[in-house]
Amino acid sequence: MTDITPISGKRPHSLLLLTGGTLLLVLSGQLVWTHANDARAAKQDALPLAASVIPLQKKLAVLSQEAELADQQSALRTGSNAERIRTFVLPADAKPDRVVAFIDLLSDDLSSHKELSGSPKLTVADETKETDIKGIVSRNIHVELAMTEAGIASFEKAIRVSGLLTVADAFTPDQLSQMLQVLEERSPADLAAFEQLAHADLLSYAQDPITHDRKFLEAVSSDDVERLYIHMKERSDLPTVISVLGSSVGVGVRDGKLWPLPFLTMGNADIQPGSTDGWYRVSADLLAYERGEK
Amino acid sequence: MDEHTPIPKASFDGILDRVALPFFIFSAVLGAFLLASAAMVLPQFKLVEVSGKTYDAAQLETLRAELTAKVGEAEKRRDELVLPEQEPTHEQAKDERRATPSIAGIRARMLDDMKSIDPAHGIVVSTFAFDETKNVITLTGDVRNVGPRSMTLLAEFVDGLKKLPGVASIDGEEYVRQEDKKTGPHSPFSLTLHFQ
Repeated sequence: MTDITPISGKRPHSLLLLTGGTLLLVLSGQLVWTHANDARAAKQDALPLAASVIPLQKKLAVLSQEAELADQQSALRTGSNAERIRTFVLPADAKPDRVVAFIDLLSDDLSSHKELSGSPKLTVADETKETDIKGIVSRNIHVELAMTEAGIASFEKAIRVSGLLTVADAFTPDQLSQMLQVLEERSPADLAAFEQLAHADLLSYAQDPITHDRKFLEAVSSDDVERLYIHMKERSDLPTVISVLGSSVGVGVRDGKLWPLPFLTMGNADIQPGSTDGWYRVSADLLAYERGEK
Repeated sequence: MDEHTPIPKASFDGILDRVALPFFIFSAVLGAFLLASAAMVLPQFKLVEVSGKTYDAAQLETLRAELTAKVGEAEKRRDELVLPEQEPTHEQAKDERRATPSIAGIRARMLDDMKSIDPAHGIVVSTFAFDETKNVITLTGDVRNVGPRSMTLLAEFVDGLKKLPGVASIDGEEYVRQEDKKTGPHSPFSLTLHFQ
């Protein structure tokens, strides 16, 4: 007969094993929880971070290359843009003769096109005034002219292109940033061609824009860059620059050694109909900007 | 034990006694496997390889912040080299000039509008004055020789002015019709266009 006495005599040993087993099971539960958390963290945090780091590393490598190329190009260039601005565009303690010479030249050109009648009257202020730009003062040059509507437009365009030196100056900062971004993303090799165009002298560009544009567009390999440049150019100051400096005004500026032009802006202006239909009496303040330091 | 001997009923204590050891062995083996996994396998999941080096999430966060700062500096340096050297006052002067309204541009749009709504040239602008410090253009004039339509025509003219680029608001919008013995009904105006 088989002994089927219950093994209740092993009670304390069984309790120990059950307790130990339960504790181990609780530990296992916590370890499973840790596994699940770490797997989720890896999926949600580490992998997306890694995905964002790789493009940054590539971008840094491209930018370093671009900067090195640009540095090499700049070593070949002579003359400092900032120096020309300080000497001609925003001079310190400027004599108004270059401004008067420019207005004179402009008036002659407008007269030749029958857009201005008689001689302009100019009054140059002795004193300068503070402007909203720290370190810049303005000298008032009051002009009185008799002009047609077309003359008013031509005159204002000429004022608006004064003080610009390079092709880059004809674009807004946003346009330039957009072009640099597209070059970096689509065609970093074309950066040198854009750098050359951006540094081109604006008077030279205006007098032969077709050659400058062709040189740039032929050097560029990306259709996106080409399309963007054409789109940007239409919305920049380049068309105005070409209409002013690409005309006999530009020739006069070059021959009269007035380039780069001093920076002018329109102050108060009063336009009233003249005695003849289609003609207007214009009384305007032109502000010639100068550096305020002595 | 023969077929007549009753099978003793299994008690709860007895069941527990019998399952205790297998239960413990199972828990111990499960715990050991999970511990080994936590020590040897799990760290591999936490690390990610980027460009030949392994990083955890915290290190990747730091790396990303460092790279973002370096990219910003590199972009600035690249822009300084690619674009002509910039003089801050020159940049500000250019921005300021771009922001001022183009008098010729405003006049051209205004004259185009006048032509389209007023082929009879009833609207006469006698003064067009730009105040640079206040950034406003003041127009004075008269609408005449159009009979009792002078106020209607003036209203159309003002509507057109409101749509000019950069115009934020117009002051002086008043509509009156006066009688003049020589010219008949007319509506004088004095409007101030405020630019953004």
